[in-house]
Amino acid sequence: MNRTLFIIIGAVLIVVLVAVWVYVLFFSNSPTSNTPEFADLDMGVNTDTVVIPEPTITTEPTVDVTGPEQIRQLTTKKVVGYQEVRFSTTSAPLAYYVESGTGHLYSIDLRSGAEKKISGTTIPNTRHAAITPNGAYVMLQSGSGRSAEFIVGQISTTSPSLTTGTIAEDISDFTAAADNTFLYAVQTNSGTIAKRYYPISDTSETLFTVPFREAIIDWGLAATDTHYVYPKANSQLEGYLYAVENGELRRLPASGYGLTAKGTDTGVLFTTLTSTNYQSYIHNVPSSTVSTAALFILPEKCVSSVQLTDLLICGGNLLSDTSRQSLDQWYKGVTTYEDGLWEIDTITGTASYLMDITSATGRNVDIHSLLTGYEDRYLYFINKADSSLWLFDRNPTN
Amino acid sequence: MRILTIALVLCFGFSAHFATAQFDQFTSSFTNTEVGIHLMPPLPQPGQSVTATLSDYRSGSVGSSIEWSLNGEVLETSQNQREITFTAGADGQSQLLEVLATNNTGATELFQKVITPHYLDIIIEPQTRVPDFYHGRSLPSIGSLVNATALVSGEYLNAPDLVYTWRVGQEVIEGGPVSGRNKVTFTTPRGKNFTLSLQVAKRDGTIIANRSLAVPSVAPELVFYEVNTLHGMSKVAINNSLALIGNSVAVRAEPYYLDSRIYNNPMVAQWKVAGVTTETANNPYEATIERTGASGSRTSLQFHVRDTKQVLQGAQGTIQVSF
Repeated sequence: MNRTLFIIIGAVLIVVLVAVWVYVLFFSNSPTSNTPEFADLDMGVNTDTVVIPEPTITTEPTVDVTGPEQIRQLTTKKVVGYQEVRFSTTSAPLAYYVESGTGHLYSIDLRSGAEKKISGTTIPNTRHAAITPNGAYVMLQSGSGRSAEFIVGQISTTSPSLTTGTIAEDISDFTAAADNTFLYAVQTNSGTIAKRYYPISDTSETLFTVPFREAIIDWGLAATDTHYVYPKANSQLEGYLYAVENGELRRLPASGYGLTAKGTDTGVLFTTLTSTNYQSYIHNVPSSTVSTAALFILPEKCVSSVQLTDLLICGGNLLSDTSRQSLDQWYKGVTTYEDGLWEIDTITGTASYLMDITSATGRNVDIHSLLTGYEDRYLYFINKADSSLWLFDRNPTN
Repeated sequence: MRILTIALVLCFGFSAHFATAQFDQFTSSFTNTEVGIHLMPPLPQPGQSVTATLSDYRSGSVGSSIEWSLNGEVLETSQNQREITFTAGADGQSQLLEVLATNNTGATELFQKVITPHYLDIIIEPQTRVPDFYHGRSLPSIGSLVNATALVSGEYLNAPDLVYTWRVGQEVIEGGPVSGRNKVTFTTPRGKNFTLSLQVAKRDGTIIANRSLAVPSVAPELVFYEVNTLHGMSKVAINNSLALIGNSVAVRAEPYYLDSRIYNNPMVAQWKVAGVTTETANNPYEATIERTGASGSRTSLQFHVRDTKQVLQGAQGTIQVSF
């Protein structure tokens, strides 16, 4: 009796369980799309709002360009050439730069900080570059010495590659001009020839000739501006300063051992050795007079102001080494400078201090390759110690 | 006795001429007995300080009053002075220097001199080695070739028919004055420096500029730089010691001021690591060193370059590598 009863009860239970399982599997309500199945045991109403955030995928790195700091490092990459590019007076200024070694071209939006790769075309062993102000063309030096090649690339707005051509000449120096052409110097057996290259038509024209090879050309902003020429500097050799106007060389009353120079429309800052150390002078062009500058400045550390034609913006330091060997040692990379920023008036010879970079950043910066941007708002330079690109903002709160 | 006397007179007469010939022909005011105004320097450059001397020692000029004027303006402070100092004018701008001498009898004599200063620039371009990134000029070293270019300013800048007389020390280059030869090449002589002189004249012999300058001669020196396969040679020199961070590093030795002919084809170009000679790959001036021992070690890296046949110059240097 008991066994039969247990079997009957057991069978009934099994039937009931199977019936419940079948009911749940086939006849219960489907969960809504927003209801997570694993969490819904249908034990009550779940009023929690579950939000799964979309992951943020960053495709472009950003550079910190906002904030009140006046001075900031724009790149950690080594830079061999750069330019400020504006496509209109109201558009955001872009800092275009070329990376050392690869020749890749990048832009940094100076309002948002977004950095973008403009060109991924690799130019091996890129050592120097110049970009036209309209951002349309770039000239690059691949390699160095006699094996160097010079490439001109058209920057595309639709694809990350350059359309390239070459200039088959023995170029010793080049720069971009304000009219979006390139100015360059070619060494010959008897001297140096200065030329202008038109990237649109792929043609060149001779601007002037210099009767010696070891020439430094301080280029004007445009091909028709006054350029200044002097023999490369050495503390033990005498140098002489010439102005080139309308293709003609004219000797200026500036000469001396270790001479270097940087000119504007109205004056020339030049530095030479006295009997014991280096001293800077101003040659006033209209009056043809020479006066002593307020402090020692290496002209290579200067750039002309865009807005004020008699103003130079320079890297310098009141405590800089001005000894006899200092310039040669700097050229060799044996010594470095720790620069602040100065403005030099080439009419009056006075100097104004803009910024103590070391105090502001905690870094020692050896300034060279300066460039001023639109309306002198931004000043750019390269730190010689690590070839990084830096920015000085005159109006950081704007 | 008579013959001896005649011989002695002849000897003294000619010796005076030989004696004056020993003096530098560029500065002959001491022996110039011509009456007139003599300048020192005789051909001043623009803006240069000039000393003008009235050379008139005739007996009739004793006690004369002297009045100097420059470009028609009387120089009040130089009254009755036989010597004055003034500043030469700008490049190519002529100045008229006049002296009015009035003797005791009231007779006057006017002396005039026109000074037209020009720059004479001599650009020294040694054919010695410096790296491509080096913004400065190289220096001559003993036995190296030097190119020199002369530029006379103003109207003579591109004049093709000027006559140039170049001297290295006392030796005249190319045997004598040469027309149109404003560029020359010569070999750096022995010594720590040498004098390069140049006289520029017109075809009619009128000297328009002359100049002498001391040119240094230095020993080649080595500077070491790290080389990166992507970025190339660093522009920051290795100052005596290098810390090897990774497993290997490439080092370039740059022999500043080494004669270019030796640099391109050295007789000796040798690297030594810890005193042991090491072979290099393609570039004799570049060596790659690899970490082999445990960290905390230090070794020397030495480079030696030299020519032993022709120019006989070289350089040697050592840095310490720690890893």
